[in-house]
Amino acid sequence: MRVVEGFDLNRYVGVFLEEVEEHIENLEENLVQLERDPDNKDLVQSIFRSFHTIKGSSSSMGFRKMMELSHLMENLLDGVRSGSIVVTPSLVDTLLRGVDLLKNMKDVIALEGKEPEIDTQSIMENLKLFLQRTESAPSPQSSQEMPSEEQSQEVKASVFYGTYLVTVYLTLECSMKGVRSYLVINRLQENGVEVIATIPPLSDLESERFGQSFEVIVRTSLGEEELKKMVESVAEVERAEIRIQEKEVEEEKEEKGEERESTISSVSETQEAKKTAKGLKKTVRVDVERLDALLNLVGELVIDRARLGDIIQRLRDCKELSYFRDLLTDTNTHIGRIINELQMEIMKARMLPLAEVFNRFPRMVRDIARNSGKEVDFVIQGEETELDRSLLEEITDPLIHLLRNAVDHGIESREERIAQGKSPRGRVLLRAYQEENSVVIMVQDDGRGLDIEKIKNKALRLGLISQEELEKMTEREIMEFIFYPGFSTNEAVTDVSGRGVGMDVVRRNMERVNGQVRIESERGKGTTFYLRLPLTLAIIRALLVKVNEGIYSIPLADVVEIEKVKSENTYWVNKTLTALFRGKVLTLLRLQDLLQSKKAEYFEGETVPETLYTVVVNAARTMAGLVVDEIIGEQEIVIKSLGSYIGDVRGLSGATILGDGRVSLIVDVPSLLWKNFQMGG
Amino acid sequence: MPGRIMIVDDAAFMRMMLKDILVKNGYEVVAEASNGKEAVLKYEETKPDLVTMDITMPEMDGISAVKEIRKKDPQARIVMCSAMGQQAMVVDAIQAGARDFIVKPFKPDRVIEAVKKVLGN
Repeated sequence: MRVVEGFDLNRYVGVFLEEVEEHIENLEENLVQLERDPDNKDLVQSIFRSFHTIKGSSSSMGFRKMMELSHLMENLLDGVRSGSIVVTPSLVDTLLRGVDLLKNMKDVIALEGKEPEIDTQSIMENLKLFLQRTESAPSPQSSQEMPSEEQSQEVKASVFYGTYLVTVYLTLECSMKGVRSYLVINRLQENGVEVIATIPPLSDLESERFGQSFEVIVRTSLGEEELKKMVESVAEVERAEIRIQEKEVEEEKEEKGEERESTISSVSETQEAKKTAKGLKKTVRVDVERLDALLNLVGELVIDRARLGDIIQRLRDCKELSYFRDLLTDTNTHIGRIINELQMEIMKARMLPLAEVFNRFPRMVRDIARNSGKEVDFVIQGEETELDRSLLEEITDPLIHLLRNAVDHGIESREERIAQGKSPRGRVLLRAYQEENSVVIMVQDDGRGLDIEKIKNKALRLGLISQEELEKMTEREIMEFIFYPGFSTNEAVTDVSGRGVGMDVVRRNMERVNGQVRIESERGKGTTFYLRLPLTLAIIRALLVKVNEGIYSIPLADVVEIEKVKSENTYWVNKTLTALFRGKVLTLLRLQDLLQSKKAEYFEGETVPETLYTVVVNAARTMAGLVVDEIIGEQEIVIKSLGSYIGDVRGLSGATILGDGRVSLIVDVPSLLWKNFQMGG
Repeated sequence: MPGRIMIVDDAAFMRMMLKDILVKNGYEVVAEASNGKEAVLKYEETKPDLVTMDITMPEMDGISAVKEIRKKDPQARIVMCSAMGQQAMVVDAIQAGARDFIVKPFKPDRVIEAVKKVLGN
């Protein structure tokens, strides 16, 4: 029982429905007529009245959605009446869709006596677009007659181009549907109609992977009727439905439009709307899992390809087969190229612009700055850079931490800045760019910079390192301490420029996705964090090495160089074995011991092999030489997770399957070095 | 007057069947040909409004015949008669200028629909 203020509304439902139905009929008729006769004031008035009445009675009945929708459309018509909204086919189209929705609601109300749970959001948003366009546009002139007349003349003088969605229904007994669809498209093109896209795509049409109908998106100056006739002139086409997506006027009006663009900010919105209207049916939403599955399959292909390469290698010794081996090599090269392309395409499909994440930061930075009473200019650059969507999720938290720290603790107060001769407003820059196969995200502030002395003190206090060792460390290495878990407690937040907040989280997240963090900081000038991320998670290039009969993969991103170090070129520095590498002293570490969590340095007195096969790695800002038994070569590998059963093994980031079927563990260089470093020298 | 039609097919049975369907629906069959070569000649003699053209025929196949006829009369309206599995050839024929196609086994109303649509009546 529906009771409002003591009235039994059920008594009125019948009358209400009857009336609404009547108005809906009127609306449909009048709107279609309005499209042809946009200057007819009586029509506009009549349409306005219908919406107005529906609004009034639905609100009395307590049907909120119906009321909101009709109210919105009433507003639009008011705009038309006052001349601030121009009647366009797309406006009429949207209004008609709104009317359809009203009708829908009415039907459900008639059956169930209550408003349906349908989504009015999207249509409301579409309708609002028309309102917004005029809101930000100063209404052309206060006089109403003049501009509309001007406009209609202009329209008549130029050519209409429309984008249409053509739905082609084939007869049930239609055979050879593929050729049939080809004929339809051929017929359209013959007649000068531009075919933009088909749904499903052409390849599916050709192979008859569709039901009784398909859709074609076309652009043409022809009218809907002509288009319909043309398509229906093909045999076995039962009927064609034409829906207009967008109408545009070529030439003269295009220029006019540009004039307007320069003055009105809302134009980008209109263009956006146009773009989406056009692109509407050209994109397909795909479940991410499906893309993941595809990428996985490509991964398997990569493995198989490596296996082929392995077989080719083995054929090398067999002279009689050299002809086939060459053929096989060619084919393998070709397959490799195709796999690469396939992989790139799928990766691209998974990419999203960083704007997805960046867009929420201006608001956040503004709020943080206001709360801490600072003045901050926040600049975003390169937000169009694209990144794999799963990476996007991983970097969100780290970026929030970094930005928060930059504003909270990096940037000084206004007074402090003035006292130091800096501009009173701080500046925080968030910048993204692509560099080879990785994306770099930079968070930079022009604040006070890291306080090295305080970090040193803290590290000593926590017993992370001895005074002696600390003396030997570079500033860069010292800065690395802030990533140490628990390095900064709350008490330390403001102490060590507060950089400790969640810094271990930043590092952990980065390591998880094979990324790297790097800091640059100068006292009084500011701090910059660089997050380097791979473009993809699934496939990396790696260096294969042999250690104690096992084959390990070292991600190439961590490898600087491969060196064959002769024992006469090594030196004992502080009782551990080092080599000189490009003027730098490099500690040599046995990978085998690193992997077994033993101390990996060579200590004075140990016998050192004559030749040390050394992989120079640079991770977590630490450079070291990993000594291995043999260097096998470079290869693309597919990362397979170790699985939840084995769990998170420190020092290993996964496994891969090699060409010959053997399993190779992937070395997590940053965490290995970090671990050895923690054990103290 | 619905239209004057030429039937091209190497099988007499097929020609007979098509002819029956067409005549029953008021069309006039002005010529019949049993291969492409004959079709090209007879097209010039009779100038029909529409041609039904089989694809696989001796002497000259249907696709070549379409090309020849369209060379002489770019307005020629030709409907291909195809069997299942001849997709690729039908596409060739359409590229050569055939207006439409019907698929065997013929159903009278399908044939008439195609002919009507091509003739625009």
